[in-house]
Amino acid sequence: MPLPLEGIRIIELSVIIALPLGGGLLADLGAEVIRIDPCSRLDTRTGGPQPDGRTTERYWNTSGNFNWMHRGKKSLALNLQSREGLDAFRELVRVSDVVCDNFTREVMGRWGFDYAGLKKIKPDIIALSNTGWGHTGPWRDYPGLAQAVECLTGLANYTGYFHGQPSRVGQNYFDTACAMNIAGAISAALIYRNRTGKGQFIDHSMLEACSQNTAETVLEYQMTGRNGERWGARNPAYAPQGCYPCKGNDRWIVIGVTSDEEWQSFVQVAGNPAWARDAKYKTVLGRRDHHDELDERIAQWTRDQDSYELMHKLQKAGVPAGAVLSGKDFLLDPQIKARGYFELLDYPTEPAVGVRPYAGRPWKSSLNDLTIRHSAPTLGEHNAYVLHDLLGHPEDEVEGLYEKGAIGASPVDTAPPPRQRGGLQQQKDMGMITDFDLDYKEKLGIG
Amino acid sequence: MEDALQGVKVLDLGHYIAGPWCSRVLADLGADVIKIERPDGGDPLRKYGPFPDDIPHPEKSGLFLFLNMNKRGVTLNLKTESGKAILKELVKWADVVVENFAPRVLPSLGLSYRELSELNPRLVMTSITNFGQEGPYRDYKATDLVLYAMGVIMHISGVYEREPLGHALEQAQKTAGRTATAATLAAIYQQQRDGNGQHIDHSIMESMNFSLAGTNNLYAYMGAVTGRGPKAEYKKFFSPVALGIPALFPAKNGWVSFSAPGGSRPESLGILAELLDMPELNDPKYHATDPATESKVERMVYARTLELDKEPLFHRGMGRTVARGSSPGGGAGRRTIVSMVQTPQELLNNEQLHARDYFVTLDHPVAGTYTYPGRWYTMSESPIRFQRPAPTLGQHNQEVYGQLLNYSNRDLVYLRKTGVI
Repeated sequence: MPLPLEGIRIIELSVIIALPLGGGLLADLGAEVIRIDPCSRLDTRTGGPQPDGRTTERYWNTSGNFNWMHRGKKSLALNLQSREGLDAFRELVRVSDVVCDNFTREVMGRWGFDYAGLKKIKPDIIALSNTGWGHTGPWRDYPGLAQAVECLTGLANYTGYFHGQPSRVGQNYFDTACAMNIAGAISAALIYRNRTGKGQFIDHSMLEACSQNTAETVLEYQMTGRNGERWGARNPAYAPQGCYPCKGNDRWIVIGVTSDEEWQSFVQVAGNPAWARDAKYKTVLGRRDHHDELDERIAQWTRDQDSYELMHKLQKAGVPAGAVLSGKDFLLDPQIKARGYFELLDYPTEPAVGVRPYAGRPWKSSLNDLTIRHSAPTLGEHNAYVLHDLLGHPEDEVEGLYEKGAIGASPVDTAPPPRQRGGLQQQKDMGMITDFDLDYKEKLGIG
Repeated sequence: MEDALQGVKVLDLGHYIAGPWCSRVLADLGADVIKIERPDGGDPLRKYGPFPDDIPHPEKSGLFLFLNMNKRGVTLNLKTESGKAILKELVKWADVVVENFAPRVLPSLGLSYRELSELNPRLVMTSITNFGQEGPYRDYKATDLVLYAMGVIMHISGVYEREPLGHALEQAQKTAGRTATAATLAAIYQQQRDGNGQHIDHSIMESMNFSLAGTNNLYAYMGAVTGRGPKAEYKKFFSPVALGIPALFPAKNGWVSFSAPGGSRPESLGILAELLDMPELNDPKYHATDPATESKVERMVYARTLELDKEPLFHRGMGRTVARGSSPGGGAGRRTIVSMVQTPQELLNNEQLHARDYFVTLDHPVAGTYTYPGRWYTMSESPIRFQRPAPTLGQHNQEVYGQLLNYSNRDLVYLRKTGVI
């Protein structure tokens, strides 16, 4: 059974997260994704985490985040500043279906590879460009970043502690949202091309993609004139709800009581204490009006309990509850294990990496055995495959391209190795990490 | 011009946010989407709001109106045998079913993927659930915040000294809608190419986790557990964007943020000095990063940003980066990216979005005229179009049941009286 995107070849010119992760999903779906991997600008190849926290000799091949996002791709380490590099790129476009990039607007055009240029090389090409703000409009040349988008959509305005300042949420939420959007957009364009024979240009603006996520706020503004207020951990629709402390270091539980029945169940699980029987808590408005004191009561009750056990107890009684899982908890969680969300993948060319678990994708298909196709490529790993096998250049000519600096297999500028952030104990003392396990490989079953 | 999904027929059995989100993208791309709602009250999102002047009305819920544009709507009671029979007729017509019921619901009605695919082997069915169709938590309940907690994103959000924080505005549901859309579009491509159907089993808990870039990898590669750190005393005032929350600075009329260039301390302060007209920041005495110096610099910068309006600061920072030119390959590099927190009013009036005709204004027969965020992306050959507002409850019963399934008007009156539609 061919995978959904089997037979589709995608050229990816990408930095940071949004497009790399989108391309990784397309590779899972069966597309042949060829990353143009510059030797002079290693991007997230220089990031962490490195195996066991130690920077390896070829650290550009051993970054955990890079290897997760770029899984299943091929690497062509092509120098687009060279004439030979540009020629090879043109040849590759001729045999490809999709070219996608997430540079700032003008970069592809500088090489002659904007949509107009690509279309001359391959008339039915699908081109996607992901930028912060889109290819037109007064902000078109501004650089973009997911964190900036999170502020501009206003999501940061609603997120945050009560009475506190606006907040972003950890890591790069809107990068991954755009990764999904991009993967979907490319499939949509393939559906269109399949039927009409025509390619097209997709101008993907992160601000536009993500302003969908705050749509209700612009409607609320139009409908009520309200112009944004912080939610904290509370959804304005029900009470009580919140994040409460549990037993142990940095252990928490989220509880959300969404109806009077669930409140009664909650009271039963809590052992029917006198405070909970107070009439003022019987109704949803009463609970909302006394939310702060209710939070204190609930926190006193949860404080000495195990977050996982309490979650199971509440869920069995029909009360929505979830332990706040850490990265480690999640990797070891029974539900996640039962669904096989993490996939063990060997990285044969770099023994320091070896076998590690990587997040697959948040869905399963009854038709396709979706997996990460193979480990992320080392820098320039597929130079010979692309130039010789695919484009038919003789082997000695490919060797000559190395000498001319048109392709490579190791960094050309002395790119700085990843910054060391001190030992694990020191990081823990500073609060940079919550905890660490020296025997994590045993715990993960990769020891 | 043809739409990307011209000719694709979709049944939207979704309710609330995640399912309708997915089917709305399909509708925007040109699929014919029929939204199926229960006759008694319809989609619960109709109760959710926001409402004009805070007066609830089932046809005026802002989020419902937004998530159901471009769809037709019918009512159908799936708990009756007659309703099930009609649904099965529609399934034979459809290419795609999108649903987000709890895992036990459709099988208990005899409408599982297995049963529906017997009627239509080409069927693509996308099921979005909190935890997936299987596994020990399959029947657990969730709120948006519960999914934030269990997807890990919450554990690393907020500050070290306080409880974990989730995003506002039901982001878990929206993230799931987006991921499920990517999965569904690939399945439609496969269906059109090979003629095969499939069941997509999508877990929101997993899609929340997938929204995290690095936390899984940190444990998988070195056994470290990411948190909400560092502790306040170690917080770098002008810290590079990596973990946690980068600094937001109070401006005169809101908040601004600076994403750091990743340069040395003198470089970083030099950029701030330039942006904020604060040459004093170039004094080497501020190059130290001890807590006392950090807090001194922080107070100085806060005092200065409070005097400035956010928009000019935003344009000045972004313009500075543009003027310096970006190296081929873009990226943050040594560039500074300034941002500002916009209010809904500012978002609605944003000059960039208006220059690109992003917003769409639709007249709804009951709710009235409102402006909504528009297309997901701009497609040059098959542009996304907005042709109809969200349906009123059962608005297209006659059109769908009469014209598509050939029921007579008398049949429809009968079905209505008996609570089937």
